[in-house]
Amino acid sequence: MIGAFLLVIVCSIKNRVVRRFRRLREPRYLAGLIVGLVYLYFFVFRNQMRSARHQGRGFEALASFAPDLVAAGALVLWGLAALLWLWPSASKAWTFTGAEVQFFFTAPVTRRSLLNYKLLRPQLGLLFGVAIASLFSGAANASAAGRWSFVLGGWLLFAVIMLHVLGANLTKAGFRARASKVPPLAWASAAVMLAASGAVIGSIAARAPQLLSLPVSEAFRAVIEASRSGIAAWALWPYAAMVAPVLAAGPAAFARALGPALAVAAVNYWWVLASDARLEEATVVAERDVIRGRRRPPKIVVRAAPFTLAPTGRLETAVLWKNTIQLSRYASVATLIRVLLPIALLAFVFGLNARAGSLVPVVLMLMFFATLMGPYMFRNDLRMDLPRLAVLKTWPISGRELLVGEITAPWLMLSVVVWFLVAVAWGLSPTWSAGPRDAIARASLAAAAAVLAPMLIAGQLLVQNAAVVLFPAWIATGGSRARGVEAMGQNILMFAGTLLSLALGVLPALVVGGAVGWGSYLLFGWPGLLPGAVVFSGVLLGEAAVVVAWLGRVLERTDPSQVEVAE
Amino acid sequence: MIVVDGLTKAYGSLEAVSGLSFSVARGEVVGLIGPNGAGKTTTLKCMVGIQAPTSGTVTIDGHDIVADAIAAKRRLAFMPDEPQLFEYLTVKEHLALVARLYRVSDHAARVPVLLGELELTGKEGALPGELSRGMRQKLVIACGLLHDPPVLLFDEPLTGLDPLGIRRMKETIVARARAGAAVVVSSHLLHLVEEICTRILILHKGRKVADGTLEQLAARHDLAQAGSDLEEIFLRATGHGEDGAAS
Repeated sequence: MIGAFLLVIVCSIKNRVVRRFRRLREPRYLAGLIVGLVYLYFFVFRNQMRSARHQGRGFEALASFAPDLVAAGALVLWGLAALLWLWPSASKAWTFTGAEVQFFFTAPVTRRSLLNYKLLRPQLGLLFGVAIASLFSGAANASAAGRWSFVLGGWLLFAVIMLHVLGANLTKAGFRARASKVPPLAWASAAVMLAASGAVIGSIAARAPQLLSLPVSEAFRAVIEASRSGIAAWALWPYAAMVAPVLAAGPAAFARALGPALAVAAVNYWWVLASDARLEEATVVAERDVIRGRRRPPKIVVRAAPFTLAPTGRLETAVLWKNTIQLSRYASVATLIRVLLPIALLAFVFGLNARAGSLVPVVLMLMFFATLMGPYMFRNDLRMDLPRLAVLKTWPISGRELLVGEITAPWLMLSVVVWFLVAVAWGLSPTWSAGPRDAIARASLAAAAAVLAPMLIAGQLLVQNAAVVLFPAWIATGGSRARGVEAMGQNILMFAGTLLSLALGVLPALVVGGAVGWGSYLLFGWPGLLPGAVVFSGVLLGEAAVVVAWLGRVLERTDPSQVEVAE
Repeated sequence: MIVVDGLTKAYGSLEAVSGLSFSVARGEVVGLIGPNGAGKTTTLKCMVGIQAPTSGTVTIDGHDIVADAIAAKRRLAFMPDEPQLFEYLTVKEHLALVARLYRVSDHAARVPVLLGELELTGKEGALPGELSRGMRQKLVIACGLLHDPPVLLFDEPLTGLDPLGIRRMKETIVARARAGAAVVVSSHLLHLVEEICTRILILHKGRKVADGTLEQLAARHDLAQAGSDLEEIFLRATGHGEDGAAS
């Protein structure tokens, strides 16, 4: 049976590669490939060749830090595992594609064979991913031997993570599906995880008073020390065993670390196989979902609409309403945790030293991030709707109205986030030692930022949506993402084009707004910044109105058949 | 109500539709039939403004679909063969969105009636992913009928429907036509076309090869041997002999 599975895996890879080569006949992919290769040469391979001349330098540096890094890595792995066990939803690790269900579930194939196939299938991808990561990471500076240990160790690590995720999901499925008769292995697995977590948390909590009195860097070191001693060290041993091969300093160290890591991998493999019966239950659900067309990662959670849509009024509001609902239904508790956890951690770390003002640079950094990167991350506008252009084109709505409605949803959301961050930074600024001491100066800066940031967000969203309208085949639309060096090159070209368009668009506003702002600053001091910001925004708004009207007409003429959804 | 005049749609060197002209009056149900690749869906897409004609015009209730697109689109509804829905909007929200787009001020009163007619009562809070194929199709039709348009275009309207749903759908189409709507139904189901259509338009390789009532087509001298059997008329009109082989 393994032959049939290998056939699927090998043919899939072969066909994907052939398809990638074939699409190079299209100029956009060929141009993308050239740009991608140039980027890789200058930013990755050239550094590789340089570092090859200094072999061993990074390797030796790594060796001196390895024990601490292994301990820190073990702690991180344990944290992730604990989150996985607490996570309410199952991951996609055990779901099967429609074709897999169609062919394998109806074929005389044992569940165990299917499980082995699911474990085997992603291995090449994992290996490739780790190899690429080694090029971009610090491991690229290590010697050839160190690099190989990073790749092989990393591959093993991710393979075991995948196994553990699968095992945890099967165990959780066992708890859910058999409320009255939970399998003993599920209880045992949960008990082991609980005991290990209790040991780690207990060991660190025992030093809490000491940790709270230490500066941040020393507190981190003390936490790592706590994790390397006593019962915590035993609890974290499997995690440390998995991290050790990745950071092994040389072939001998790698060989020594490999044994324990393989032992942990074997235990996880046995655990997953022992949960084989529950795989069957779990996949039955997946199978039904696939057949009914219900597989739609990420899961949509029905929540109340943000506002009631009246049957009459501006048509842009209808599109805004739709897109706001879209965002609220795809955002989940998991998303919120992913966004808020790093912020909460930073706040905690800075709060340890009772210097609220120290948070201001972090908040400002987040504000800049939301302003400059938010428009690329929140895509609930035409970038998501373009694959449905055929539907949109049957609506009695002009291209201009559609475009405004589409852009307004991410604009409003990002603006609210930025305004919140501006308010937080302003609120904390009196205790910020590096900021201006004058209250009027701080208020003026905050007000100017609150006026400027939304306009910059709108400008970027407009450029992104314009790119989708003008070059629909060049931008990933819907939930799809093209892959490969050529796709990376395309993205680089589009990013450069976007930046150039934005710079050209902002220039007139910057000249006029800057002149007004400078003049009023000379006259009125800090409060004079505000008129400059308002004029800047006004000019940008005027430009945007002209561009939107033009783009709307282009959108009305766009043929849905020109829109290609990336593979 | 619908006037298609010299419609041509080309994709590069391929002409999917060539110089097609026909009109549909109020109360008429025109069946658009033809072999695969005949240009039926392309014709419908040009008629509703999804694709712009390469040449020729389409007029909906006196409004050109290209030059006066908004006014024309307000008067029509297109029900595609594959339900295209927003996976994150519930049934009720889809209808609210359509009500706003088409300015249906009394949608609160219309929605329960429409949902009842299409057997979607009780599914108001469901997402498209939670509906069966047939129910998704019904939702698309409910969205199309909400603003009570005078022009209705259906592309394979019976796909995915159960027997009761098929009967209801046929009744709905006929009832809308009797109420004065101009209806175009594109389908491969010849018995459906025979049953509900007042006129039949046969397309072949992008061109109109027959247009008229079943009686008119049966009376045409080149189709006379087919009698009043639509299947036989279709095969002969599209260049196939009595045994179905291309002639």
